[in-house]
Amino acid sequence: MATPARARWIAVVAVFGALWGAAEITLGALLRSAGVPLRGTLMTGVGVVVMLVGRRTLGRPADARGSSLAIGLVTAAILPLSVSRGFVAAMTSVVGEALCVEAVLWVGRPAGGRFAVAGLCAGLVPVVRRVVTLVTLYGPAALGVLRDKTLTQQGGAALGLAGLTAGGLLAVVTVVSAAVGLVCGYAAWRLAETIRVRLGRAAV
Amino acid sequence: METRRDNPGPTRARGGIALALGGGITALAAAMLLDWPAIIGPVVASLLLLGLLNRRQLAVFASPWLWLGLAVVLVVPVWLFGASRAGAAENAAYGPAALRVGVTMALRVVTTLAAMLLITGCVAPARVATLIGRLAGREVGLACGIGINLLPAMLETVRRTTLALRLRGGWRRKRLANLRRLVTAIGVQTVRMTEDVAEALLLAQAGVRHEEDDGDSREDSGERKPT
Repeated sequence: MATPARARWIAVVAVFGALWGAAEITLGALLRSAGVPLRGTLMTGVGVVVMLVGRRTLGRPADARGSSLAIGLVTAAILPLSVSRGFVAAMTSVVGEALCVEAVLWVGRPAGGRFAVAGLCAGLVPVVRRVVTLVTLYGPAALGVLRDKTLTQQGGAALGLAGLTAGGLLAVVTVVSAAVGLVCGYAAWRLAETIRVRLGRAAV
Repeated sequence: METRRDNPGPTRARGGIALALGGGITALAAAMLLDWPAIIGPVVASLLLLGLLNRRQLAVFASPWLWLGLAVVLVVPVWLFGASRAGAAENAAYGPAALRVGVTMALRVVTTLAAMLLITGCVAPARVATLIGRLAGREVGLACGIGINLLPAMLETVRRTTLALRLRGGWRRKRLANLRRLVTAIGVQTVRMTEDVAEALLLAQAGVRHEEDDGDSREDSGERKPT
């Protein structure tokens, strides 16, 4: 660490990583304990907002490079302190989401649309991780298991999705997750702008 | 800086660090493995240890909102709707048995929170930085160390902001607009905190350089370093 820009990068990664970690180990654990439906999607939305606001706080793309992935790594380091038992799965999702956001925003100038796309990709990560895990564990029976788990453990039955087939259920969860990611990505862009104005900083 | 004022800081003594880390990790493991009534042991032990090593952090457990929150989110729903709703057992438990499951879950949260405060209070950023730095790079390692230390300050910031919003008539009307205000306020506080941390990092670096320069000039002039 040598320049003020690098010090700022480290500070943003540490503070925003701590914010996301704090949200995961308090709000995330409570949502999980209370059995709230689509809690993974909700927490992904929180993570997307934190990562992208942190990234935009750093200003120029060259200064912000690598920050989203690093924020995810800091959050993953905090997750073992969680009340929740499934922190290994949460760590995988957090790092995956951070990788997606970093990959989408690695090159080019930041913009609202790009932030929304990054959010969309990050939103799909928990669904993909879940499907890959179940296929690895259960093989051909994975879709059936996914349906059972989504309806019981994920609160799908409480949302009135019990009549859907496994494929339909997967499609609904995928679309909802992507939509939440997309909205959160764009909301992060707007939120960062509001914060910049509130703090009286010049636009980058 | 708010971080310095709110975070009681690491437990300094070497024996204290070993005790806090050992106690914290043991309490975390016990919270995951034990059930009612054995869970009461780790709860009492972790709170006693926290009081012994860092009494100021016990204030978290003095808040009635924590206990009310645990009761509303964990104990009452499990008691009313049965234990299987929380995934606690295949065959659902109802009535007093479900209440026991709910109370056990709440005590597990309390133990984990105490363990978290014990561990974050004694984690030295430099050590975490060295460990993670080997895997993911020095700067990410340093950020991890700082991030873990910032957790109590971050939770306090969120709590204060929520309280300020509630005192201004918060959640009674215009909930969506107030939620947006809350998120913005937390965002502003977080960005301010990053500026404080960045400043502290630069100052720490300048301090290290100054000490090194001081040592070099003493060696050049033939002066012995103080031991």
